[in-house]
Amino acid sequence: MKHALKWLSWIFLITAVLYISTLFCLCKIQYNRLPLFYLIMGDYAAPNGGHTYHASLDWNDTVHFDVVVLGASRAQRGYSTVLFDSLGVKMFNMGTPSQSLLNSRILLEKHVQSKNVKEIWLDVVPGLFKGNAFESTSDLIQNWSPNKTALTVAYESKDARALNLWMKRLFCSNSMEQEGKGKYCGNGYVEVNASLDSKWKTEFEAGNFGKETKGFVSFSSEAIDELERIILYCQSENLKIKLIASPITVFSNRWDQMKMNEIIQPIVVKYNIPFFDYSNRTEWNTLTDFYDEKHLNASGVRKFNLDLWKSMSSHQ
Amino acid sequence: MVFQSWYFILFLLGLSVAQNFLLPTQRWILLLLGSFFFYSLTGWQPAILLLFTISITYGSALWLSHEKQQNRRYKILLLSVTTQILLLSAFKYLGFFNGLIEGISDWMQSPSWVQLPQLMLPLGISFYTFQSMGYVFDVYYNIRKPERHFGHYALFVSFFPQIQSGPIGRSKEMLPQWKSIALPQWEMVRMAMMLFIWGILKKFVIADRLGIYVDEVYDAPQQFSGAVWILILFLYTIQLYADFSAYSDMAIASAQLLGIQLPENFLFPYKANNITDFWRRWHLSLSGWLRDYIYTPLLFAKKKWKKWAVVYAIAITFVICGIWHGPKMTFVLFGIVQAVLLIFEMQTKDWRARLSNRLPHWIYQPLSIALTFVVISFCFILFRAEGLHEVKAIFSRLSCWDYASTLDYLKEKNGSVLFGLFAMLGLFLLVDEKISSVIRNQKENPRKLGIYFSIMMVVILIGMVLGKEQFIYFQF
Repeated sequence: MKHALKWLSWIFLITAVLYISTLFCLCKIQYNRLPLFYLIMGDYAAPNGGHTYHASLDWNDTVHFDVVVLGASRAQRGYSTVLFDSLGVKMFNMGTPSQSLLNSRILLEKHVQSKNVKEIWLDVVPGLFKGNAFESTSDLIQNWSPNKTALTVAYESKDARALNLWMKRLFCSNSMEQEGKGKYCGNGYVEVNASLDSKWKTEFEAGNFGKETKGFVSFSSEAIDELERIILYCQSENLKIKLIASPITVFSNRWDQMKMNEIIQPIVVKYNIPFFDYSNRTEWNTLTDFYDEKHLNASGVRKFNLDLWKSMSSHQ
Repeated sequence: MVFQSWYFILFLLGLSVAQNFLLPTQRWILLLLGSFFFYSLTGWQPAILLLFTISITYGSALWLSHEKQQNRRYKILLLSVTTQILLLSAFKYLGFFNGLIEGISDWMQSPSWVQLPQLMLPLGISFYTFQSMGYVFDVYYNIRKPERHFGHYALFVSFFPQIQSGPIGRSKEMLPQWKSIALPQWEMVRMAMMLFIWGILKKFVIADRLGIYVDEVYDAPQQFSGAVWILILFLYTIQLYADFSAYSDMAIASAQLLGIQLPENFLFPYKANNITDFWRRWHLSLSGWLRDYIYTPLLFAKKKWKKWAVVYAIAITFVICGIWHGPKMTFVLFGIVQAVLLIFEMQTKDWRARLSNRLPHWIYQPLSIALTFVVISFCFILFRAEGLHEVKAIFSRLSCWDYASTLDYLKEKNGSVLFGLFAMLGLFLLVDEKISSVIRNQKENPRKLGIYFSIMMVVILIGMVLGKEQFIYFQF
């Protein structure tokens, strides 16, 4: 037993030293102006920077906001902080690409309390219920401040790759500017001012949509539990929470959408929270209001946000 | 529950600790309960089927021992083997017959006249069927006496580290171990840990990383040039070895932690200098089984045919080997190709010996190893392809040397990343034997082993690719 403990302590020490020094070298030695890290871990790590990094710099725990938006890329590019500001609503958009419900909860618990925020809007899409998407974990670990939040995201993902990314965060500076899709407009909102791209336009004109006969997403019970945990956290912090399903294109899988609504309806009834469902509304035009198969463009966002605000005002 | 999951590791550690509270002669009970619990996680129906197989073979062996008349003994053996083959066929090969019927119906331009039911393939059925069948053969040939302890025999067939994909254990080596299970010494535990970690490294850092490249090309065979295909054939050959040997190492290590020795399954197959040598190094437990229970009896049965008896025995053995892998024509063809290659080698043995005497050793040896690797890589097209149509498509692409699309592929994949990948593979093939021998040596300096362990851990942490939990051989 004594031998075993001694040997295990020895390998633990050696492994830790070797691991940290290897990652240090991989982050510091560059090839083609990029750290070697990306040559090995390029399948899940992207150079630091981008919209999430900007949003993180804009966020301040001591500044008060009326609304914080959470969700994936459709949230990040679908709720204009500029427009809501003009309507007298101080909003911060905390949406990040592929943000899972687990990561939404971590951001919420780490940064949002009743003293700095009044209301949470959670943008729900079927993809959120797939489980934990590593794209979102990777993005948040590399770009979201402070280190503590990034560490929590890494820990909660229960994935060894997250540890590498967190270590990389310590060794690689986050100064590189990476261009993401669209223009960063402040307080987390990213605007894409473009019409439907040619690939989807061709598909639309060829009528290649609405033919699916089954759903694509396998809804995970862990993700559904996370949604309930988010609601419970808001209730314990006296934060209002609203669920919103933003407008979709004709390319969206209607089976997944139906399945998601079947999951959400009992939850909103159980906790008595409002649910604004735009996924079944027909006034949004795939050709003019979206720039790809699922994201609203700037004019679509404007139309949606104004309508949403009107609905919310009348609901209150 | 796959080996690399936390659930499995906790389950294994739990059993390992619980063994301490039992007498060596009682530990089989815990392992049997654990094995049935493990297998029942795939469903209660497969567990019932496993129990049925155990009962049939256990009963057959006892019956054989009571029977003195050779003629009747032969009939009992035939009955037992036929029952098992029918069971295996019902679960594994009905789909194949459906495909055959559909093909004939299409050819005759008439609707399919019968549709056989498609049953779910129970995990590890090919492995445990062969293992239990081997035991019945052993009793029939008087290699061993029948096991009278039903619990010991049930554990022999259902032992959880090996039930999913082998190694296929032999009764004379495995059954005596259950009688009194000694707890492993610390040196053995350390060795098992090293072997397990080495398996994880091979699976997640090598096999699954290669799988990304291989799957992409196999998913769209027509889109890639001949040069890319050749690259992918080599990568798949290494992926298959890394994946399957990783599984075998983890199975052996898991058993060692419980005080049980499983047979080795690989002997550095890509160091083989001909196909005959390759089969002496690849999937040893299966090739040994085929040699002892199919090839040798066939050879003796037809010994009057002299040289043709060998040809006959090789052909039958390798067709069975192909069919064992699955209900696909590609596997049958794989077996036939192996048989043809082995017969060719048998016929050219003298000529090759003369050639090796003429050429310097340092030229002949690497050349024959490289040639064997290339031939095996081409044979594995039949192993990986979905069907004969895909094999045809791949061979048509292999003759298409489109340099522009090859360059595009290299550019898209990033030449540096590919270079790094090849450096890693070269290193892996070079150090595989060295690492395997160091980690299997119980008398090795503990500090040196610790450094090896730490390096492997760091390589896993940094280089692992996640997303593919299953091992390739689970499909068989």
